[in-house]
Amino acid sequence: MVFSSLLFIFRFLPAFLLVYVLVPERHRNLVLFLGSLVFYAWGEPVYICLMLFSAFFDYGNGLMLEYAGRNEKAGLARMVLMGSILVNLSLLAAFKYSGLWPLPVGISFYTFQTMSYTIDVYRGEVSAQRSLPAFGAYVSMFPQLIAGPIVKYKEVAVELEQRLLNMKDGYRGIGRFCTGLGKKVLLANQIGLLWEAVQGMPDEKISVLTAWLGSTAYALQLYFDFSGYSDMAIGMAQMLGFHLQENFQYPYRSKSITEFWRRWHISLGQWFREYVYIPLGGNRKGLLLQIRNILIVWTLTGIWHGKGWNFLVWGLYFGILLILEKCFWLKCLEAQPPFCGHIYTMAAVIPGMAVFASEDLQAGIRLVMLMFGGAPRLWDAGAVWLLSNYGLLLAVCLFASFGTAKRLARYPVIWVLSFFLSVAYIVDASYNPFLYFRF
Amino acid sequence: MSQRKIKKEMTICAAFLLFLCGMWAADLLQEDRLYSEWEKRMLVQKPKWKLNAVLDGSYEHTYEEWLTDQFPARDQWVSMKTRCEILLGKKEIDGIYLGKDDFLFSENTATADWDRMEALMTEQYGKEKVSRIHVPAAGAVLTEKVPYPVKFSVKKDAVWENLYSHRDEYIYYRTDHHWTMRGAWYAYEAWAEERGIIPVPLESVKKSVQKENFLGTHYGRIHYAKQQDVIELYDPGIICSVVYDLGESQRSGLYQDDLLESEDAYRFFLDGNHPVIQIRTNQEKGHLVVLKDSFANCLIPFLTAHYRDITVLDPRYFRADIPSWLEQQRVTEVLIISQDSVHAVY
Repeated sequence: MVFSSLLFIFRFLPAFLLVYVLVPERHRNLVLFLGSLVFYAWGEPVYICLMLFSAFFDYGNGLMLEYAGRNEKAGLARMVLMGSILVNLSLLAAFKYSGLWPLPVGISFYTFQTMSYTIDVYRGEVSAQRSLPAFGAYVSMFPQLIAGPIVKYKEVAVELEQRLLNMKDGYRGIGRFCTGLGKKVLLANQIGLLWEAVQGMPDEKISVLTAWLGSTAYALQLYFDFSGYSDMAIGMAQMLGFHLQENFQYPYRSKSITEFWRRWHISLGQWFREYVYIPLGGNRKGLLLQIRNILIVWTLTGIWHGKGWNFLVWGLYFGILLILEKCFWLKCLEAQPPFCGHIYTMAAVIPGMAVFASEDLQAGIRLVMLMFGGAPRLWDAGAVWLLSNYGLLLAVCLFASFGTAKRLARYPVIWVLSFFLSVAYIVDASYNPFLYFRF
Repeated sequence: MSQRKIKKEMTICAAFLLFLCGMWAADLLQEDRLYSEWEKRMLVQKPKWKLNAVLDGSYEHTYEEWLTDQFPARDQWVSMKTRCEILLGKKEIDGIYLGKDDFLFSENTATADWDRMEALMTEQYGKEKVSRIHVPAAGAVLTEKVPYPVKFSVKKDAVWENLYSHRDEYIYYRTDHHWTMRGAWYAYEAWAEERGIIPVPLESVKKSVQKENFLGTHYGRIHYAKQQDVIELYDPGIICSVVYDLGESQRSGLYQDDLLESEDAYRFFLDGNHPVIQIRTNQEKGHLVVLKDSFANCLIPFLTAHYRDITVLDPRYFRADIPSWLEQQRVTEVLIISQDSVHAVY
């Protein structure tokens, strides 16, 4: 089930919220667990076994780790931890990278979540969860199940035991959900049409302006799609009494790539930082090892996004940029007026996104070549047409992505507008005249 | 916390839940619609709950389709979306191009292989007996009304030239992809001249307004139009008897007054699409076979002035093999009226 569907908005969500609010507090974890299973199983019931396995397996691992810790059996603890990581990564490898089966929804997210749990229990940072409904609710929590944010267990450990429902959280959660829905449906999907139009053109019909329009549109689509989903997740979690961390902080406002990655998909960055970068030694073992660590993290980040070579190149591209910034020009950049940093960041990020967006590496490189003068013309009628159709939307998207008007998102009037227009767009997308013009 | 703030929070929370549940209730109360006139398709009906259908995911799939197909006030939601797009300055919405002077244009995908039809007929009857009218798309004729820099593809023949030189007249509908009867007459005039036939003069046909608030297929897609269309009848006044579908249909006559009030009022002409229509007039001789799509429906009345028999076949619906079916008949001429695939380029 996806959030931006009539089924979710007008069936699942009201039904779930009513039950959740009406049951006594002690049963809410169970309701959340079962509700999330229904959410996940809808239309694809088979893969639920995979998620249940993952949940039960790491539930057991947590208890064993705690037992080992209490009885000071370090060897057992290490074995259980290794086993947990190995099994989770194998699941991910088998389903995400082997290409033998269709990708189970959310597997990249829930495997990372359960790994964070076992690692933290092993480290003694949290105690193991004894209640199966509570742990099940954590693993399968439907607001963030399919597209994150990646919630570390310790972030919600307290609220899993006890959380209060109140009007204020409900109010704010509804606001986040409605604006997030609008970001996804009204901004991401619509600016995505511009990218699709450019992607569908043969190379010889693409001018430099067209190529830039297309890749800017994609960069915006990716941002609004992902951050819209995160907003909806955070909003719904808040309705249910959970307070999750922000996942995006207006990344396109950044003045350097280093800053960009502190603002983009924060939960993933933090995950890699906490469970890969720092255990490898982080920046405490000299520059050379730090560079190695950065490269490892960014190779993994690239691979995490998908199995194509373009994802690997995309990850390494940013990794190398980060290293270069660290070693050479970050200091210098910070001394310049802000707009230099903005332009530099966008000029580096947008081609990076073009590689990310393309079906394969060659297509990505071709598009980047077109952007930087490989196209026969600077602009043409096609670009004018696209600009006249999407110019205003593009401006709205840029405006919104820079956070220039973020105070607007506080007004319920905007929520209502965003919600109703989103529903209109969702209904329209299902409006399929059957060869209408031929009858 | 102030009283006002608490009140605001309560209102939003309650309104949100109430609206979500309210739409559900509205859905339960309304009866499923079987058919969507605007979309020209059957709508999905509520699926029955079965265990194996749930397990293989097909129940869920159909349920979702049913929910979207039967969603309350669907047309109004679509209209709201279109208005928002227009506010954003969009000139192309879901394949509909918003032109000047409230004209709406669209591309076209030909649904039959008309070139092959022409080849088959030429093989059977010889080149002299077969003629063809390529119906230009509105966007290819009303070029000044098309939003810059879009152009619609076209075959620039005599029919197009005649229409193009009268592009200031009301020859295409604004909200529908079809031409008006006046537009069809100019195509008929160009065709007749080429065939050496004297066309029924435009001045002598009986003109009457049939419907003043016509909204066509383009409107149906985006549920938005600033101006409604007028359906005008240019009746050459030839007495004829019309048999639809070899007598299987109860329809008769060239014009269907009762359909003017339906959502697809263009069906006024020859009742829309039938596999076969047979027309007998009071002319002395000639048997014309017309192979056509819906554009021909408002042109065929002019042809009744020239032939005793007109057999109208729609190859998209006619199931039998057309050449062998025609072998049993005495055919003097064949005319193909159709629109080819049309693309917008820029």
